[in-house]
Amino acid sequence: MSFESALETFYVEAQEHLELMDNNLLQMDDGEINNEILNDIFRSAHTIKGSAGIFALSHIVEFTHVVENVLDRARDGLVVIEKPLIDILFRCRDHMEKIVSLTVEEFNADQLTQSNGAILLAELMPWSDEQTKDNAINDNDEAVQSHTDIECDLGIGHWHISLRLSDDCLKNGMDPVSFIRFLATLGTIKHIECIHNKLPTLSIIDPEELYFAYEISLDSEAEQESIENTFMFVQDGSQITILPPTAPESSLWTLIDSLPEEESELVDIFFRCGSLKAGATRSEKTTTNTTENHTILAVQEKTTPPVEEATTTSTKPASASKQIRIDSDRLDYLINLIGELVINQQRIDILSNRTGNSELLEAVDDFEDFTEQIRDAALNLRMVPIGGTFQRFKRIVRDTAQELGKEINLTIEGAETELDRLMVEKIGDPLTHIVRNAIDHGIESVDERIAAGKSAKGQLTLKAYHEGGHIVIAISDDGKGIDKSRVREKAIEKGIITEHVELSDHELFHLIFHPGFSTASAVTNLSGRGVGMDVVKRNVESLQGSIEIFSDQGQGSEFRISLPLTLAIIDGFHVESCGTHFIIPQATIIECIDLHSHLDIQERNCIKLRGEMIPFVKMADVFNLTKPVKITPLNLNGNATEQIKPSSQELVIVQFGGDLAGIAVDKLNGEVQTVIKPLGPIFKPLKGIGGSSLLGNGDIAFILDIPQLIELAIGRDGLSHNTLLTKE
Amino acid sequence: MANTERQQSTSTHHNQYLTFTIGKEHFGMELHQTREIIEYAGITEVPLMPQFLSGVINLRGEVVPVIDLSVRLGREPIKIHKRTCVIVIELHGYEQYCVLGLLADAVNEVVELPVTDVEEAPAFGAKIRAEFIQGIAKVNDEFIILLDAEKTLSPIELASLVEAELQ
Repeated sequence: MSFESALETFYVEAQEHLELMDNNLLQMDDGEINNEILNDIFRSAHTIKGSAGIFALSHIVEFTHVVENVLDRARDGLVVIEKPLIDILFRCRDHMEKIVSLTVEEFNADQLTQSNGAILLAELMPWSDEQTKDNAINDNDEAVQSHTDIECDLGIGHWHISLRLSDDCLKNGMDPVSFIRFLATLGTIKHIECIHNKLPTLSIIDPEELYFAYEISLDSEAEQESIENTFMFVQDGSQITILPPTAPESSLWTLIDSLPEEESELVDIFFRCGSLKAGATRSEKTTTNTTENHTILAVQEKTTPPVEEATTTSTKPASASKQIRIDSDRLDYLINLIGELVINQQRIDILSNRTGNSELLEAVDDFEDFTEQIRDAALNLRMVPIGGTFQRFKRIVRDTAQELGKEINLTIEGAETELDRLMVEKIGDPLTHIVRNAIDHGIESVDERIAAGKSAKGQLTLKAYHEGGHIVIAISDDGKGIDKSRVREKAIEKGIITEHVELSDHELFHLIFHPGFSTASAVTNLSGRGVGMDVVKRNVESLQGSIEIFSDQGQGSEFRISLPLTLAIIDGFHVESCGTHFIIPQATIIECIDLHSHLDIQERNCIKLRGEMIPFVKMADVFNLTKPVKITPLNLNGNATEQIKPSSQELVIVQFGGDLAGIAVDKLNGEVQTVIKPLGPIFKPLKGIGGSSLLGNGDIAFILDIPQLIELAIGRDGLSHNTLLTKE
Repeated sequence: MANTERQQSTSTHHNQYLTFTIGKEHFGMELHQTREIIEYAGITEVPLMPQFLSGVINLRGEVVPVIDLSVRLGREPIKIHKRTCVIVIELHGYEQYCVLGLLADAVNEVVELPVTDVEEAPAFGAKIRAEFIQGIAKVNDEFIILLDAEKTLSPIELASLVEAELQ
């Protein structure tokens, strides 16, 4: 995923959240004021702010932060939601929509929008507690960025500073912006120009290399020495020229000659900086110390630009690549249709088998082949590597760590693992929350780490891998782990649990996902508002996934998100037990064996296969199935079910985690393409069944969730955990 | 309906209800929540489910849970017979909209009732949790219990009942 497409995603997401906000505000306006709605509005604002932060869209972050703050106070009951506030919130939302549509540059150039924002913030003041601080930030930014005044004189205090910092500047931890900020403390920055033509195409960009050059005009009374000292640490490999107000104009021309950029371009920039007077030309400075050579060269350059431009354009890579953008709705529609096609194909298969017509059967066989190919091709359209999502965490980790003064090393594994695009989109938010939490709460500060005998640099790992038909995304850190007693205390304090409740570690960790739960005592910009973890869980579950927490106090934590490969169609294996149809995801199946040949040890629910002991469960036992009595309108006595325990004859060996287990069923019916139909919220507590699917004849089959099924079996049969989980 | 004549001001508005019978009782449900009525043609039981959850049906490619309303309201399970039908309803209250089927012995008619004709649920006596009842109306000399579908069939509550059954 390139930066642009990530940005595109942000715009789309922001738009969605803004729409959501609009709806929620409307509901509030109708007098429907409750915490749920308020929470939703807050989350929308929070998410927009967070995502904007990732893309350094500071104008959005600054504005939204204030709005979010007011909403947070409203959530805490510090602010009463009343008509005037709702009105302002509406206008704030509209303003957010406006600034989201603007880039930073456009925003800075748009005085009207800026002043609108300032007015809104001022109006929000009575409800906000942070107004002073934020206004300060705004003022500062205006001073740095929005000065478009080009009519400034070459006053007494007019300095011109030309920065060509070394390429390694960023690698050495020097941010040019910080120097510029410092300059602003010495005087007023009249104008600043960033030269970015060295910036290469995204594919070859090195994010740690500095590609920018700056021309600054500074109005300052400061000594030359103090201005020079600003750049003391970056002198190596840099070309820094500071022209004091007293410098003759000729020195500007010398500077222009010594710089790598085109003269015409520089003249424009210097003019905009106010360092060159309007109409100033080179002819005025013939008395300067530049050599004849330079002059001639410059003149030649002036005549050549058209040619150069032509060459530069021709060397640009053909960006009109072979990609086309498709509206995701259209793609989803296609996939839905293919789902129907698959079901219909199976019906034709069944019907044609009944005829026994060999020609027809052959044709249907071909048809099946093609259907499968179409299905795979269509699903492939939606598969994208997760690497793009992981990539954006480099930036998040860097920024977050810097902000908190922590040192963190991010390792990414399995970036090539492919995932349904829909999931990649939706998993971004939950991952961001978890990563930020890991950095904020998990990994300790440098001092704490050293005191605990760990390396100063914290380790954060993002990993994606396949496991038994699922994709697992693991976020692990080597921080201080989850403090169980604190979680407990907090949960009691927040009234989530009562004091006497005994909880397992597993249950305790899951308290973190409770809405409104947050252990951080200080509210930071990053996390600690208690929003997030509940959303994380909900987002993951809406993707038919699950989330597990593993944590050792002092050793670190791991969040493991398990997601299905795709949300639409899977290869399944159709089995039957007591007349109930089940689908086992093909990816989990190792083999099928005949249980009768192992009848001798059947009672032990364990078989020996090629020297390995494999535990197995009987489907009929796990799900309390009994021999069916067809309940049809003609056979009315549904309750007179005969209680016959069936004899399972077939054993399907499945893999889960690193282990093998068997599932005993009555009948194997073979492979089917399974269109997943979710079972809906009511069936959520039902473990072991992940969804349903329609068979060719219209019957409903249940799709087994193997890891859950095994868990269920462990619980039911009272098998010790070790029997099955030999590895852990 | 004769009731329309009694309409005095524009503020009196009418609600449409679908009425149906379970056992000997008559129930009603707001019409806009109901989507269609289909003949009962078998049901696929879902393992381990509590009694009120009869199973799932294939409704033209959509897998829809079917609820035995009789059990849900604390009565005997419905007896399947030739006229048993499934009322398909849509609920919008939860985060996502939810489609459910309800077993009923018979579906009767659609009635239009002015709000004024609907009386509040009695605090007790109906043998149904008061919050499930939106009101009670009298149509053709029969009492009809108008159910609040969002409350009676709240997916969150149903799911918690399922969870309780599984433990």
